[in-house]
Amino acid sequence: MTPLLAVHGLTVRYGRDRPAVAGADLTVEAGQIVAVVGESGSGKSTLAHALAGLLPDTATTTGGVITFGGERIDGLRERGWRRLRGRRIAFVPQDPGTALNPLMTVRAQLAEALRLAGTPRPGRDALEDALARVGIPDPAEVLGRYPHQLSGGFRQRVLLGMALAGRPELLIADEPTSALDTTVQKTVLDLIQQVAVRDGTSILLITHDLGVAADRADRVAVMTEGRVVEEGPAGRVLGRPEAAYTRLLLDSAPRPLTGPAPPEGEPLLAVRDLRKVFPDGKVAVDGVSFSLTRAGAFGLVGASGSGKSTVARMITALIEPTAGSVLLDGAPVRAGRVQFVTQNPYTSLDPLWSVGRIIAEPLRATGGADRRAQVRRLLEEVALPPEVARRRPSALSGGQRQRVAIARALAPSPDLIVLDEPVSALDAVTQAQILALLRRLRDSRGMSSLLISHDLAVVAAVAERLAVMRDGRIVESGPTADVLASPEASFTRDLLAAIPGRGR
Amino acid sequence: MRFARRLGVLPSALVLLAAAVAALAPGLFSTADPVRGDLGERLLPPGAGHLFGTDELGRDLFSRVVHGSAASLQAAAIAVGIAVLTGAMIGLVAGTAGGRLDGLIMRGVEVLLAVPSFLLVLVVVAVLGPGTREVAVGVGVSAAAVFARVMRAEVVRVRGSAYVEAAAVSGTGRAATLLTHVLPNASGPLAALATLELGNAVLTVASLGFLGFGALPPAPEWGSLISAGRPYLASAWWLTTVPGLVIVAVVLAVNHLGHVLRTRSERR
Repeated sequence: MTPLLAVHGLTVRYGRDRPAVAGADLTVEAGQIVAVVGESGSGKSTLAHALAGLLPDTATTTGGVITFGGERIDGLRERGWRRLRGRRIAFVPQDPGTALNPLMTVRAQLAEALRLAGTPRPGRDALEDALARVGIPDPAEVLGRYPHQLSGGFRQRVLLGMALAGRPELLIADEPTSALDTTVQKTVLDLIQQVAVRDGTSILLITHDLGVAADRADRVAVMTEGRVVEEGPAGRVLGRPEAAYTRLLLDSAPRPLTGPAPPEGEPLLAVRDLRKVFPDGKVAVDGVSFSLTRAGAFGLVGASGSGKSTVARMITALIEPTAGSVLLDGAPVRAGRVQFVTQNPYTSLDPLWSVGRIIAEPLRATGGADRRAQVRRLLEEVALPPEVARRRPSALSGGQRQRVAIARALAPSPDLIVLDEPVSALDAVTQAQILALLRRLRDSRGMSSLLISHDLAVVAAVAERLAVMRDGRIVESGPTADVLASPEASFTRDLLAAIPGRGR
Repeated sequence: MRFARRLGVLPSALVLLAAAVAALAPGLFSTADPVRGDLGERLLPPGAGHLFGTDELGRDLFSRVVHGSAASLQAAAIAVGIAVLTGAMIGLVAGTAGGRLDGLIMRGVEVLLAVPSFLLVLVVVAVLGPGTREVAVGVGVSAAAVFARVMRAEVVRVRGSAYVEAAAVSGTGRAATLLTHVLPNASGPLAALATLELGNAVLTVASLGFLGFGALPPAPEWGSLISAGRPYLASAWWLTTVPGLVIVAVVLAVNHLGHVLRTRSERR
């Protein structure tokens, strides 16, 4: 039997650069879920776009054959693609925040999708049915809304509803959940899986997350540097990986700390009844208390909007609390004693400064002799070569930039480092390296840290104690091992269940 | 398109270089006296002896154009300097202060923008009196508003960036943050705008010279050369056309180079 989709030796390049996809092979059988796993820059997104005929004009396909339902589609012109797309091949883009037209209601956009898929005048029933099929509980209500009135998860469902409107044979989903919280991610993935089973739709799932692939896919293809380096049944690829790169990816998944939590030592940071009400009346943080021991790592977990970043900003004195206190060694926090590492290493470093100058910036305030030697020592601590000091941030990768941000935070030898989502903008392999660095710094220099993340697995890989936040309050706290083993709050259980790849 | 743009770079650079050298060392181009003429050689058309011809007093037009470039270009450069400095200062203060002061300053800037700029220049020059330096001040003041707006927008953008926040956590003071982080990162678009404004300024300075506000006769200046040649439009076309073409060439060259530099800095 011929497979639904077969790709042989596909090569795509942008301009004169090294090809983004270099001779990739892939097959998708009818009714299968195939996951393509890879880092950013591995070519997986370019592959997805090539299969939907959505490559930008700057890309040229220089070789390879794509067959769909037995017909060659690699040489198709735009008119030919339009006959396929929406009816037989559907595409769900990465970021639901920007993929819907903000000026059109859901009804108008969905009607357009249905019309293009072959229903000339979609009636109310057809529209509501399309939304009901993607698990939207109240379709009539949602139809009249604009995209900004919907949450990220609902927007992704609407996009999925539009993609499935034409009952396609193949659905290509390009990182459909990477912009969503873990709990929302789970519901959207459940839905995609359900569609595959119910309608027999084949699904090509592009993801950077091996856990997602392990949970959802029948077959997994691992991509790196434009090539598929390993392909096979999900259980075999993840259970007995053959390619070195697959093993590296598997080893990079965050693992909770093992061993019992160290006894609670001398408290360093004491947060009591912290509360923040913003001028618009929104209560972001509502009575948060916890304490952190010297040389300890404490984790704060919660979905976006739970108030965890607001807590971080109050501890670093970037914003004033409405009520409550933050005490470091029993006294209010003095400048420079608490340092901050933010989520996005692409914006947290001044693009015009050299790395050496960036790292030395906090030293200027505290003084200290021979800054150049200190910078060299700090670079060594975060495992960067000394010549990096002369470079600009734009010459560094995301992981290297985050190392620079950590070195800058370490520079004034602070009592505490607050890390707000330090790895969520990074690839799995880089993420594992940064988490290892954090563990090492704690052992080598007794660094105390507060780690904030939406991902329970990330926090558990570094922190021996954690607190779970929801709607501005702490719903559960305790030693990490205990919380993972026997979560008390139902929200913590949802968070745990939502971590991809736990079945492995 | 890209090829055409690259093709224009060399001639533009040559035009600008020639104009700059003429302004700094006019003697290199022409040894003829720009002020004293030979009455026996009045209104000669362009030819071997006089490259651009002569005027009604027998003065060599080429020499007058060359010697006039100092006044014209100097005025334009000073004008842009004034516009950039005052505009950047106003924008930096407004963007940093925020709140009521920001609102007050920016409404004032909008009033300046609402008045047609040439009218504004005329008012300033009428108050200060004619002369090259006065013209430069007038043009600079009228152009400062645009720079102030751009600077304020950039300052607000940079101030909200994560690296400014990081500087605050690092213990860097407010003033130091402004000077070392905000100002350098905010000034890129300002530099691009300045090149664009330079072409404009050359044109405005020449227009004012044409109206008689610029350099005082008999000193040559591009705009006043055109004005002086006007009575002879029918019999001696070169007196108006040649200085006009020189102005067009310089303005186009500046704008073209500015455009190339801008697209290059954006691509980076």
